[in-house]
Amino acid sequence: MKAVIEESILRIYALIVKEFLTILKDKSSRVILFAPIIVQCFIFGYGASYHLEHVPYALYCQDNSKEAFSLLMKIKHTPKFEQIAVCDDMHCLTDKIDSQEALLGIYIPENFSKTKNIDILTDARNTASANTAASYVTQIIDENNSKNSILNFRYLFNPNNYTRYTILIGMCLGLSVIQVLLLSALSVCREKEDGTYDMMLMTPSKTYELLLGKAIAPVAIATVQSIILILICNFYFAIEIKGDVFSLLCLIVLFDLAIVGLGLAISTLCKTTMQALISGFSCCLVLILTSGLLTSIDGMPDWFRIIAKMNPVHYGIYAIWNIYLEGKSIFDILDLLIPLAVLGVITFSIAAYLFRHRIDN
Amino acid sequence: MLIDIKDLEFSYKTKDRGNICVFKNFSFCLENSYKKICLTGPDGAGKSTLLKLLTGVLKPAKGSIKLRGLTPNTNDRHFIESISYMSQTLGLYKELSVIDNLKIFAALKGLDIKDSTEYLYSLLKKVDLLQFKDRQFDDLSGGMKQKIALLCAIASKPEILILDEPTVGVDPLSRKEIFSLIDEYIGTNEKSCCIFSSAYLDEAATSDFALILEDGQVILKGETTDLCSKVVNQTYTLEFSKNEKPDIRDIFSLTSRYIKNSPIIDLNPRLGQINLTVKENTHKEDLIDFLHENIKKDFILKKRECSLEDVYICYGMKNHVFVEPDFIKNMNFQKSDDIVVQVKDIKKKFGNFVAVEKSSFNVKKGEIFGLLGPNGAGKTTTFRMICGLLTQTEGEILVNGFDLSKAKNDARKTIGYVSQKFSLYQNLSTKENLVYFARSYGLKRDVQKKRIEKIVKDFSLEKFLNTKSGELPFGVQRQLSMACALLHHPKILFLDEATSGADPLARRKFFDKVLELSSYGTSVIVTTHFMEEAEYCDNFLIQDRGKILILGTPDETCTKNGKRISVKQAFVELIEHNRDKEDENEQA
Repeated sequence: MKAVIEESILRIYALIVKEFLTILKDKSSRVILFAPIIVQCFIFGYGASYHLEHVPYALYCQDNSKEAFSLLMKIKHTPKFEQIAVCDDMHCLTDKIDSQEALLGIYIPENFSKTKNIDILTDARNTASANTAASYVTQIIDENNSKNSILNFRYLFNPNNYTRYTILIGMCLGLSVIQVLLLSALSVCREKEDGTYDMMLMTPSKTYELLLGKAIAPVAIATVQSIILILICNFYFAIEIKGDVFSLLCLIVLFDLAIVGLGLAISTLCKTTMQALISGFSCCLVLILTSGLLTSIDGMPDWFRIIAKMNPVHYGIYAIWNIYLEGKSIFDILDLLIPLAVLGVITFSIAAYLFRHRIDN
Repeated sequence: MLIDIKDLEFSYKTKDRGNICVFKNFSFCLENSYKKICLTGPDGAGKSTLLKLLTGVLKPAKGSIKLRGLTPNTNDRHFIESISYMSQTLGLYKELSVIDNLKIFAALKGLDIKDSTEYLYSLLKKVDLLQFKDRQFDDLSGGMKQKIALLCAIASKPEILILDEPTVGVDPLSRKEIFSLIDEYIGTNEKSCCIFSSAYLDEAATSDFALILEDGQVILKGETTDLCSKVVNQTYTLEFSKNEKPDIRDIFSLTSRYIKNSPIIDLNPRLGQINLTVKENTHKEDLIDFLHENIKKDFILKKRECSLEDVYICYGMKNHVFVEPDFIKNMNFQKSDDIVVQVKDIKKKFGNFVAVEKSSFNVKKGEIFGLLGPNGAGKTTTFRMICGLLTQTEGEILVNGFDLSKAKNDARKTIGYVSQKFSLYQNLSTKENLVYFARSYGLKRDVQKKRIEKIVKDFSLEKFLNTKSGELPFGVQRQLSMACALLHHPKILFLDEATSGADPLARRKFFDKVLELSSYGTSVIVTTHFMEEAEYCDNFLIQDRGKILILGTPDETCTKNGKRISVKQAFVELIEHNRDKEDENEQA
């Protein structure tokens, strides 16, 4: 019995060493594994934000009251707002928005002081910026209207309400999804094309040994990548890690294991590396888009939300937010981790099934 | 002048091993009168490189090349239209149909497609492939692909045909057809000629000028008929009476590859007898004395007409460095009756297509068993089923007593497998590959170290331990594949066209190893397109269209009217006869 287990471990070890060597031996492939991830992290850090630092607006004001004047001054002195035109008619206002010179058009009708009526036009060709810009104005107007009861917003877990925080932290897992999925999707296909697949099957390795041997290298590489990304978030972008490091590490490994099963399943189904690459990539896109990282799950139709709930990336990303930003430990978020583990078991079983039954083709 | 090469210099850049010089101060001239020129030599001799230099695909670093007075230049329309090149990888479009491929290559060479459809059809008809004209190129069998690639080269009616191993991996039947196509082309077009490379010496023998290269040097050149006279008086046949015939495993180690002062350079079974090639100036009496001393059986030594292959072996062995072998002569090989592979009524269907029809055979311990058949006959399918890489639709396979459908992993521990294509991890070094396979077969550290040391020595891989296996010369890759398959001391070794593309000398050394293994009790199952290799087999079968046509020892299967014929002849006649019969039945 002992000898059987020893041999089995030796075989898995052989596979793992071989996988690491094939992935990491070339200097160029080492660069490809780590350089783009870091570059992407900075791109997301600076580029992926729904915040507006600069809101150009046009103004058409028909009211000369004191109230109107004070509101206008408030808007004008808000640092994000820049008045680019003062119009004399509606036509001019819409024109400025059509030509994309202004993101907002503010129209104050004649009897504003009495009716408190105000019209805001926004350029909804880009919904996200339109909403944000509109909400800025609303906030100013609200403050202006309710002199006695001022609404004070406090953004918990993200004091300055930086969208960058949530996206970046989510991306610590999101970017590694791409890596794990592609590495594992290519690993079997490459062997099929090189003819080494047969050689691997000819060794006395059992299916689960092959799967484990194939899974560990991509998981380890993706874990290292996630750690690098977290370090950048923590030290460079100064986003404080609220939770404990152990929980974070557990989550990352569990998450990567859940994804790698999917990659291996894709790899056994595809015949060429080209197919695997394209399938892997499309899969990544779907996984990330339905995860709730970039868009809110709450905004999706009910039936679609069920699909999103079957997405391991969804649980992973919510879990990392919980740990990183809220400081929860793994035991607090079992409601996210258990489905993640279940999904991992499912993808692995599919991969194992395909591995065993796809040999004939 | 047909070819005029002066002071050619050329080297390849590689990552691991730096610049590899292929040619240095290489000069060679050839008269215009030759029609069929053959290039041969071991792997890495520079055959393909030379052909590529002649077509202008590669540019020389120094020196000049002239082909019928023109400098090879792929931008020179006049030059391009006068030659056609068929590369080893064929270079056709896999996704396109046969006829589209033909049209593209004809059009690229300036043929008017509208007027030439009929002509292209007639070409296809000539090789009997007209019914496949709309088939996707990738779906054709190996032999058909090779024929289509040749047609693409011929279609534009070039003056010079340059063919790089046009028959590698092709069965004897298709080889015959390919060469009759070439002969017909150069026979009917007066100005045309063909320059080709080949590892088959029987093909080289049909050329009128042969050039043997080694390490970028011409080691022998001349008119083919003259070349044979170089080793006259060095070739013999050793004949035994039927009951006295020694086992090849008892005598193969009498050559100078095993015994330093042996007069015998080469010894191999042919036509039921043993062919000998001996050192220059060996007296017949000395030879007889040597043979009497080592073979305790009665024999008759006869002179034999020499072939190009003998010339090749003699010249190739000149630079052979003798290494003391650790193989100890085993002079009384005992055949065993233990059955190690038992195949019972297996059948394999892919959809509606029956790839293998009810087949049964047994392989005994220490036996060398051959699977022969034309491309697409079902050999590889049968082979893969016995290895457990495919599951049979019906029937039963027992490997070393293990039922393959139940105990695949136990069976696999006792199998070694060398595939047709080089299938090791190209990114990994020689040593890393060896270690990977050793571990995969569960060899513990101390055993692993010993085995690897031994096998590295056996296959002389010392120089290449840290080279990426993908950058090794082909010959070394072949050695390494075999080494990896033998690390765990398998009881059965599977060789799937393992000698494809190898030169005769490399094949001899390969079979020395096979015979060694076999005499220690390892069963070896081989598929091959070199029919003379089947002479080494204890038993072989010939398969076509999924059916076993014949099964038996070489002497049983290759006899016609009481006379022993070559395996190649028996093979070709059997397949042709069977196909005619089947086609008749179909029509009826």
